[in-house]
Amino acid sequence: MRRRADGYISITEPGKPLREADTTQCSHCSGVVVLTPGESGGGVESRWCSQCSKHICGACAQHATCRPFEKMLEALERRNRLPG
Amino acid sequence: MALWSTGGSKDATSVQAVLLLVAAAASMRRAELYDFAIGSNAVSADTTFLWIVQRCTTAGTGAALTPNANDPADPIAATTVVKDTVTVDPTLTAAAFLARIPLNQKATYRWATIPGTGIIIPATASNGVILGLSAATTTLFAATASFNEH
Repeated sequence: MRRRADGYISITEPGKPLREADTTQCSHCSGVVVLTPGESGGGVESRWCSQCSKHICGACAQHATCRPFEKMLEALERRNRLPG
Repeated sequence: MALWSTGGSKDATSVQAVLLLVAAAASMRRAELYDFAIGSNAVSADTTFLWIVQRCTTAGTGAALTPNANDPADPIAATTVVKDTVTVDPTLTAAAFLARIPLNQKATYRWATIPGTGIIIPATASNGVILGLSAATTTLFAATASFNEH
């Protein structure tokens, strides 16, 4: 499975070269995950959820269960919807 | 898909939030943050701040901003509530960090992603995200954000 970068970060600072990196989103918490150069486009498969087959962040990798963010969103929105 | 952009700043009030984006209290839609830039507009200083993008469950108190449509011809207005010059921080969701960014005060940081793969704000009243600092500070900061709604 190839890793695909969805996003990009850049840091501009006086007197220093422009720093850039690829990013993607954690499938479980929607957080921004910065990909190291070796990860972008294929390679290291750490922090990968084999159940939902998507990238996850280091914090979510500590949990044994697959909790896709979309499911959590749906549950949150359902819980807060007014009955009617 | 309509896209909106907005920019805001933080004054010398001792708070964490620089820019707040939360779902409206009624008739809300799910929103997606797909681009933001953060930095300081204070007098240049060589010190480090920890920026955070964190989920929140209340709207906080601040000056309401009207997001600008990227395409002026878009006929619909954003429902997402955006605030800057925050005086009361919203209730932050513990550990719900979407990004933690240690950054020199002189530096500017930008994150952009393909619309459709960004940070989702649920269609739940007053739930959203803050772009801000990990601890309250009186230093001046500014941020800009672009988002769409589903």
